[in-house]
Amino acid sequence: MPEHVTRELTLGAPLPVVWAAVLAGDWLAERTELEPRAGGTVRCRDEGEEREGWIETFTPPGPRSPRRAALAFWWAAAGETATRVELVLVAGETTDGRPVTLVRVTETRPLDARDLVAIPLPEVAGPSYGPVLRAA
Amino acid sequence: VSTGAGDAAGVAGAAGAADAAGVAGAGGAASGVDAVFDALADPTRRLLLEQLSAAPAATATELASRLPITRQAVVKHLAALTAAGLLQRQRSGREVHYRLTPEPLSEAVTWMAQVGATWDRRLAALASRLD
Repeated sequence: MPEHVTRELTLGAPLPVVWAAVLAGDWLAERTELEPRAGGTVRCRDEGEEREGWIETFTPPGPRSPRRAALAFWWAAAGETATRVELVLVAGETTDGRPVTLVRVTETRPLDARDLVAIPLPEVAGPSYGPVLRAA
Repeated sequence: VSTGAGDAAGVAGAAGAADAAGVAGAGGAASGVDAVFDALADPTRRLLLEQLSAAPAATATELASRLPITRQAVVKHLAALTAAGLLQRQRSGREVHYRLTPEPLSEAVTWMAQVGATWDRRLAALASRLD
């Protein structure tokens, strides 16, 4: 019984370009506000539904990580349990040398994630965000 | 993770899911899915479901005889599975029989299908942004 949803997509653009498009956020929802740093906030509004959360991991491509970038955040709509979304971007190239980027997204129910991390929650998120450790 | 720690986490987790549903005041599809996932977190409970899927019904004693755990532990796991709506209890004289109720599982599958479809749509939007 899987407890998460994963999707992968290979895009014909170099990693920095795809990363910039990911951070633009307009593909995520009709309106997206994303504070690009660990601990920053995420707000999305789509089809009348508002989702809010915070960024757990923010690893842009750079000299220390030229071929991989990652963004992980927690979010929830009002009254819902928060879920964790992880976006991992990996640089690659086609056989004829054109740059491509693999995008892998995983949305996880708290059941999986609370086993992995136990970090304090930022005040902005409130008690329903992040690994609440309801099992503790 | 020891079996004991897993047990404790599982039982408390099921209670937590019930709390969350109460706070949200919803008790709808999402909280039901949470309860199912909490119940399925423990490998012993998944094993019990597997055993029950192979038979119309079974008692805790019958299940304990097939697994390397005590009847007391089986009873505790069956209680968590019943609380999540995955099992039904039926008393017959002095015995209690447990049987599967598949509806909560299909609810969990529904959640995954909805989330998956939403990400398909978002990734298509990301791809078209880069065209």
